[in-house]
Amino acid sequence: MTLAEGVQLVSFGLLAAMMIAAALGVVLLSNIVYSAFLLGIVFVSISGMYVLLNAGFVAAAQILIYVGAVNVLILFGIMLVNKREDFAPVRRAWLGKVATGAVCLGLFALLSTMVLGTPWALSSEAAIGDGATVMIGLHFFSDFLLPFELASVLLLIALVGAIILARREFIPDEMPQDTVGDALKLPERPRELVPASRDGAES
Amino acid sequence: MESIEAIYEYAWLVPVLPLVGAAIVGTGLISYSQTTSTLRRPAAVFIVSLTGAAMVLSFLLFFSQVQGHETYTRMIEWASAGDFRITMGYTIDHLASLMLVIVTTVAFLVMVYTDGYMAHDPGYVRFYSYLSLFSSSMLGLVISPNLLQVYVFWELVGMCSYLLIGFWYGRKPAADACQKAFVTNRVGDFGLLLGMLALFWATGSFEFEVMGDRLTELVTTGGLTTGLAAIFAILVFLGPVAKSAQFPLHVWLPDAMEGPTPISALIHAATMVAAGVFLVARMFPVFEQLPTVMTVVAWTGAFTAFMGASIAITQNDIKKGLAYSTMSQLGYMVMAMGVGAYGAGLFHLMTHAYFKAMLFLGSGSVIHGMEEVVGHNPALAQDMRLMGGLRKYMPITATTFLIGTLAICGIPPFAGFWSKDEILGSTFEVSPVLWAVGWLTAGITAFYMFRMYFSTFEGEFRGTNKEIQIQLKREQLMAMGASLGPGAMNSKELTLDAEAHDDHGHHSEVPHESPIAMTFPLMALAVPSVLIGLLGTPFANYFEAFIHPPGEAVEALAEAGGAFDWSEFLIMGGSSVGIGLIGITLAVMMYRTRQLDPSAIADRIKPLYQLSKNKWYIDEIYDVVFVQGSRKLAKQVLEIDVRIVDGLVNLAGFVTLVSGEGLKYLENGRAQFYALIVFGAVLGLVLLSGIT
Amino acid sequence: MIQLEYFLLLAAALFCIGIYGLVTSRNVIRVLMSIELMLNAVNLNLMAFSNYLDPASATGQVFTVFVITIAAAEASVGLAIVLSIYRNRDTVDMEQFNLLKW
Repeated sequence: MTLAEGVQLVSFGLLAAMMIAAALGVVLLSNIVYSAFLLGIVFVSISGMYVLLNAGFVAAAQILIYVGAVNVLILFGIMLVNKREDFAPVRRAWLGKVATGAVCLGLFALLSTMVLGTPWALSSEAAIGDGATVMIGLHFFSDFLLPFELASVLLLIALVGAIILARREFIPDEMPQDTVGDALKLPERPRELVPASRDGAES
Repeated sequence: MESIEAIYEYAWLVPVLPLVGAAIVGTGLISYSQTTSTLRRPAAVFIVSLTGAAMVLSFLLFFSQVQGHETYTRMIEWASAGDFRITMGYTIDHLASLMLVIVTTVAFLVMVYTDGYMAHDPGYVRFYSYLSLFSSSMLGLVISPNLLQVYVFWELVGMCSYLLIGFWYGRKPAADACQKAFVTNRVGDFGLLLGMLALFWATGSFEFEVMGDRLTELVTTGGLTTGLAAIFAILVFLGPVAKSAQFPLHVWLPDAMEGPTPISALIHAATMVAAGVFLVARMFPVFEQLPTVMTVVAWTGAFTAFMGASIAITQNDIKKGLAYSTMSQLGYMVMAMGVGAYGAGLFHLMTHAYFKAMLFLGSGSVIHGMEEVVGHNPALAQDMRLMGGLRKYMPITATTFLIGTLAICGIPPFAGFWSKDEILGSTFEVSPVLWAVGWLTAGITAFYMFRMYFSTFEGEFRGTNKEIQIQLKREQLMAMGASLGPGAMNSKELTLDAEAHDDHGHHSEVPHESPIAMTFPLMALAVPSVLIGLLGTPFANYFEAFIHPPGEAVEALAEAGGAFDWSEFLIMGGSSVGIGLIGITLAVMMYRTRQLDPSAIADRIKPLYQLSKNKWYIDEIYDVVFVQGSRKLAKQVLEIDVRIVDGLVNLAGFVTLVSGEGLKYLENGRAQFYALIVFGAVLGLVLLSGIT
Repeated sequence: MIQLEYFLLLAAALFCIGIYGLVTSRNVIRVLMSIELMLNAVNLNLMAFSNYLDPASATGQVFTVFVITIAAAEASVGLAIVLSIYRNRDTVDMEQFNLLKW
């Protein structure tokens, strides 16, 4: 990377602050749609981090997949289950939150001491930079061939699984009459859609 | 000579022949019960002839031994593991051949007698198969070459005794008696087992002589303390104490008289109870070396002899009286063993086997005759207060009984005199105190035996006296009520039952002589009872020359026989005959001529009379100490079991229940909570491992 | 120069925020988002190690690519499950999804 050290440090600081703030927002904000957008900011910040770490290809992949696919998917999910519901208050919810916070801080302290206490065997070799793209490709088709192929199978399974899970269940009460016309349609039980609001559900 | 060898090679047939009989008839009884039970005579003939064959073989062996054949031993390996090996086999030596003859002859005669005595009993065939099984076990016992095999047959004869005492298992006293016999014998047998194993541990052998030699060696080299060796030997002696009805394990023998009379004669007078004495004889090489043990044996015998005799004085049941007499005579034998009079003890064993078997068979004959008059109620048929004057009706029985009585009283030249005198003589050399006990016992023996004879065979017949019958029945009911406990059964019901039974059993007003099957064995046994003592007279002791302790040389005995002291013999013999005559005179005065009133004397010495009548209260003491004691202990243990053991189990269950009930709230179905626990646990574990 | 530790600490912080969100969120979709945060924290770690400890062979980047792939699959399946549950239970409240209990 050819950026000056100062620029690097400043951009790291900015990205870090942005990322932590956005992450906290994801977790703490009450509006789920805001959370989803803040998640996108987190992804983008991390992509920036990758650039700082001399990994342009992965940074691009991060933007493409996370922001472009996962985040969009989550937004779609939010829209599909878009029901404004006020969760019933749970007694002593603060207790759970305090306990979780304590555990999280504890884990963070643990990790921090570990990170700071470990003598890292830093390498002095020069980073390959943009050559990494070639390198990754070489890895995929040599020593990581099997995981790579498995990953493709996994994606296929996830594709099929997601469709099976998400579509309405197949219990045809009466078999469709004209099988020729519906040959390419999966048979589905006609079901009343859940109304978007509680008032609708009551009526 | 070859034929002689063949006899020895087939000596194993002696116990096997009766076993075959018992097995065939027993299998028949189990498989085709009805058919076999009807084949009474064939089964009896079959079994008796097998026993007869065994008897003939025994006689052959005996004569061969008398002619000086050396000891024959044949062993096979039974089990081996590494250098541990157990052998089995048989050994025929002087002692074994003598015992074989005694056992087979008595068993044969008793089996013949049984045909008459059990003629009307539905269990006739079963009785024969038990008898045969018993004979087989007893014969196996006497030819056993080592202690382990002795133990096996020891238990077998104990089991046969149990079966036969409880032969009339429908009668409650019989059922109780067989259990009592079994349990009492367990105590002794457990001691025997412990002692046997301890001796094996110490010496590494079950062979008698090897055991004795090694034990002596160990004691002299200090490998084993004398006290420990004595404890082992006394543990072994516990077996004979139980089997030969020595104090304190004698309590089963009188009760064992609930069994049929042939059994009392064969097992509980002549053979099985003598097995204890036989074992002491076999263990002589071990006991001999330990003076403490010999003293214990001698005193046990002496005390038992005296106690048995003192109880026998007041018994009214003819079989109970004979049972205590047996106990007393066994005491003599054990005492003889204890003072080292090996030959004398076994000599008495032999003479006693014959005359006591005869006495028991005679009492059985009397009971058989009495049952004609008073019905099949043991409390009436066996009670001497209802007898009297039977000489008129049963001359053969009376004569043979008189011979037996004279023999047991030690009147010369009957068998008992020679053996008893020899025991007393040997005892005097060791301990005058023991001799005094034995001498006094001899007098008491003479008294109670003649009391028994006079009340049974002389005077007026009292069997038809309703008053005595009613009194006896009341006593019986009281005894039963006491044993059953209040409210166990309506006593009126019992009376009616007894009444009805009584009427049914009435046949005639006078008793009659028993059939030839019963009188023949009596007559046959009378011969040895009179004559066999002549084998062992002090001036020509053939018996002692034949039977002597394994270690002792024959020459020494021959010399002892040569240097026979007539004056000493006359003093010893005279004194024992004298006290016997005093006892007889007393009995004559009290029960024959009625110059002295027995009941008046009994009143004068009430506590002593009660002590004797109630068998020294030993049954009561045992009841309080052992029966009640163990019941209390069992209750305590039950309490502990219920409170503590069950409590622990219940506590474990309760803790599980409570902790499960409490922990189930952690399982609340919320995945996030589980995640929290996972992360918390990670933190906790890391901290924990970091700290430690 | 930016130290390796900075990235690691940042990743740790992100991871812990993810845990907090995972455990305390009541909306199912927010739980999924928290999981994505955690996955990204892991990715950041991998990338940092790749750059500082093994800059020549880029193995860490390969791993990151795999994680991204799997994260995408996870997100799709996860959302499908969420949809399915929502259809059946008519809610996205995590507190209601507690059928699997005593």
